[in-house]
Amino acid sequence: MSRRRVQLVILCEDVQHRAFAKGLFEARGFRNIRFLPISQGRGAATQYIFEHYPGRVKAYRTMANQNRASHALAVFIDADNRTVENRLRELDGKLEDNGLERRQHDDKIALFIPKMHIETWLVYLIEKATDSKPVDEETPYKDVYRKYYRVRDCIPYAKVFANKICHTDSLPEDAPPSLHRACDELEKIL
Amino acid sequence: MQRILRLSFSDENGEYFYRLSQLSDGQRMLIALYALIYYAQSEACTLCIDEPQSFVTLPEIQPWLMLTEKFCDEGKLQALFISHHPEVIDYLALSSGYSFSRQVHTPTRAERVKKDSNSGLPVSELIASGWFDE
Repeated sequence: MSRRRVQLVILCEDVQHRAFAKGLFEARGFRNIRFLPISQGRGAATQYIFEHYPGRVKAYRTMANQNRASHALAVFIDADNRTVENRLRELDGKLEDNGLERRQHDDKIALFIPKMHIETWLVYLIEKATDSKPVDEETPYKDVYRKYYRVRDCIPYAKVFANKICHTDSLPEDAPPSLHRACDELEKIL
Repeated sequence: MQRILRLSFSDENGEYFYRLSQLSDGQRMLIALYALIYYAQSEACTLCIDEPQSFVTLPEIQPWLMLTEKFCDEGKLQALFISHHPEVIDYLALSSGYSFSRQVHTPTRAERVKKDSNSGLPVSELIASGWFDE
């Protein structure tokens, strides 16, 4: 099925995630995108994702049982001070707490987990484009990004990432490991 | 000479033509909304719409908001919307929303919607609950 017809539902923490997701998925041909409401506040955003993830997975699986190819779910949640593996376990745990199976290989569910934050990826992608200094996953880049860029400035970089870096080129070795995973997650719903 | 405005719809079974008067209020509204954001681009103007979601079905609101936001991001359009609808509030409030409030016999105050109040709820839910922190 054409990606133009896939109904993609996106659960994300904040407007910065949303802007990145918009660039990412539009670049790969998704046209039916539905962003779920974003919660107000930074600290509570992770909890908000945890609370809503099981319900969305349940709804996705119900719809996917009728037509697997036409539905997909993408989730954006920062790893913060946890590891990506921790976040994945936490998300699976939320499913099990609600009587659902963990994420299965054939679920068209992509989990994008930037470490430390989405701004880590954004600063890397922008710095990469300008051949500037390397980026690590331990430094908080939220304030750096907000100082120099607007929320929407990431959209062209997200498009290059989706269309070129993940698609035809390969991500350099020095890229944040969580960003390497993002390419694999993107493949899950293409 | 009479000129007739016809609208063309197509699906896998072919193409269909309708006159504007044959469409529902929602379909006409949708056509007007998309026409506004495309044609306002050529004018040096600010597009102001009160309750743009009126008559439009729920799944049709966000795609229009996304396209409008895209045009605004690209500098092609400037827009100002007033809405009490949760779909519009939740999409726009945290990225570009202002709240308007007024006590009796006082001027109206406009304030940027706070991003970091840590309420953990969508803005529309806070407003509906009367818990919105202005």
